[in-house]
Amino acid sequence: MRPVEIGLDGLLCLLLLVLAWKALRAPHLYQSAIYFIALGLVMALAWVRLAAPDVALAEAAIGTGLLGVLLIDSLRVFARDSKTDPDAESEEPPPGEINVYPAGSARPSGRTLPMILVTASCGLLAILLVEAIIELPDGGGLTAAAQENLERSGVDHPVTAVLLNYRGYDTWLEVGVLLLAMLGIFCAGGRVGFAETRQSNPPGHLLSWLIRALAPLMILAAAYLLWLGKLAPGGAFQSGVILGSAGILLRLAGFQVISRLPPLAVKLGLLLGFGVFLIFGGAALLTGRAFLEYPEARAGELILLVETAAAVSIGFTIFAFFAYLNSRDQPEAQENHAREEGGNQKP
Amino acid sequence: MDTFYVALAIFLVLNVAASLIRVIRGPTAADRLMTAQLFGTTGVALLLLLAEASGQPAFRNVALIFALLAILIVICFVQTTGSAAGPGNREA
Repeated sequence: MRPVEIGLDGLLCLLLLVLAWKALRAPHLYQSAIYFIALGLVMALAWVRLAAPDVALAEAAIGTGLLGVLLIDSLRVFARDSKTDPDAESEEPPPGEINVYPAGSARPSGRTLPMILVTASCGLLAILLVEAIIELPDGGGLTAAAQENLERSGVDHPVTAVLLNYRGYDTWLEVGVLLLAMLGIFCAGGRVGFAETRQSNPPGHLLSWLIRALAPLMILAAAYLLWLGKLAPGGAFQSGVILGSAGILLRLAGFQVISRLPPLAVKLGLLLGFGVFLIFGGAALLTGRAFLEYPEARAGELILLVETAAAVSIGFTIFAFFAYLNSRDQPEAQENHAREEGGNQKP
Repeated sequence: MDTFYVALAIFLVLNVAASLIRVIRGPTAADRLMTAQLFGTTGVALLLLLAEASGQPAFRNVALIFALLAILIVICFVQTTGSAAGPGNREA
C-alpha cells in the first residue's frame, strides 16, 4: 500500500473516532445527531476503502437518508413533549431567539450503572472481534466454496448468491426482524401511524419542484439497484431502503402515500417479503428439497422474485417506521385512526 | 494518476474535518445541519475519486445513493421546524 493511501485511511480512522466520541459527548442531543449522521457517511467511505461496496451501499442508504430523518424527527417529538412539561417553562429562550430544540434536547446526565454496563459490553464485543480476526482462516474461509458454486446459484454476484441462495435463511429472518420491529411499534402505539395527516408546513414552490424531480429518480434508483444485485453490488435491502426513503420524502411534503391504499394492501405490503420467503421454503419442503432450496434451472428468476418482494416489504416497513413516529400525538391522526377502525368493524 | 486522486481525496477529507467547527460553534441549528450536508456532498466527490483511483465502478453507486438521499435530512428539518422557527433559530 502506498503512503498516500495509508494517509487517507489513517485520516478516515481518526475522523471516525473523533465523530464517534463527539456523538457520545456533545452537550446537546441535536449536535449528537449531526455528529452521528456524519459518522454514518464517513463509515460508508471507510467501507469503500475496505473494498466492501455491498456494505458501503447499505450504510450509505441507511446513514444518509433514513437515520438522519428519524433522529431529527424524534428530537422534534422530544422537544414538543418537553414543552408540555411545566419544569421546562423556566428555560424559555431570550426574546428574539426561537428555541427549536429546547430542554428536551439537552443531554441527560449519565448514570453510572448503565455507563459501566455499556462500556463492559463494548469491551467484550471488541475482544470478540479481535479474536475473530486473528482466527480468520487463511484464504478467506468459505470464499472459494462460494465462488465454486456461483454458476449453480442463479446469480453472478457472490454476495447476492450468499444472501439469497446459500444463506437464504439468514435473509428471511432479517426481513422477519424488520417485521417484528414494526409489530413492536404497533403494540407500543396502535396503528395510528398509518392514518396520515397533512403536514403543518405545506410545501413551497422549491420543495414541490424538488420532490417532483427526486421521487421518480429515487424509485428508478431503487429498481436499478434491485436489478443490479444479480451481477454487481446492490440488492433487495439497499433497494428497499431507497424505496422507503422516497415514501418519506413524499410524506414530508404532505402527500398521502399509505392512506390512499386500502388497509389490506398495506398489510400485504408489510408481509410480502417474509411471506414469499415462507411460501418458497414451504414449497421446497413439499417437493422434497431442503428449506429455501431453489430448483437449479429457475434459481435466477425465483431469486429476483423473492428479492423484489423483500424490497417492497422493506420499503413499506421503513416508511411505516417514519410515518408512525411522524404522526405520533397528532390529534388528527387519532381521529383518522378511530374512523378507520370503525370502518374495519363492518361485517 | 491514482496517487493524484488519492491526494485529492485526502484534501477533501481535511475539508469536511474542518467543517466540524460549525457543529461545535453553531450558532444556529441550521449551521450545524449544513455540516451534515457538507459531509454528504463532499462524500459524493470523495466516492467518485475513490472509484477512479481503485478502478471499481461499483463505488459510483454509493455516490448515487449519497446524492439522492442526503437532501432528505434538510427537507425533514425544514418541514418540521422551518417556517415556524424562522431563519435565526437557535437551538440552545
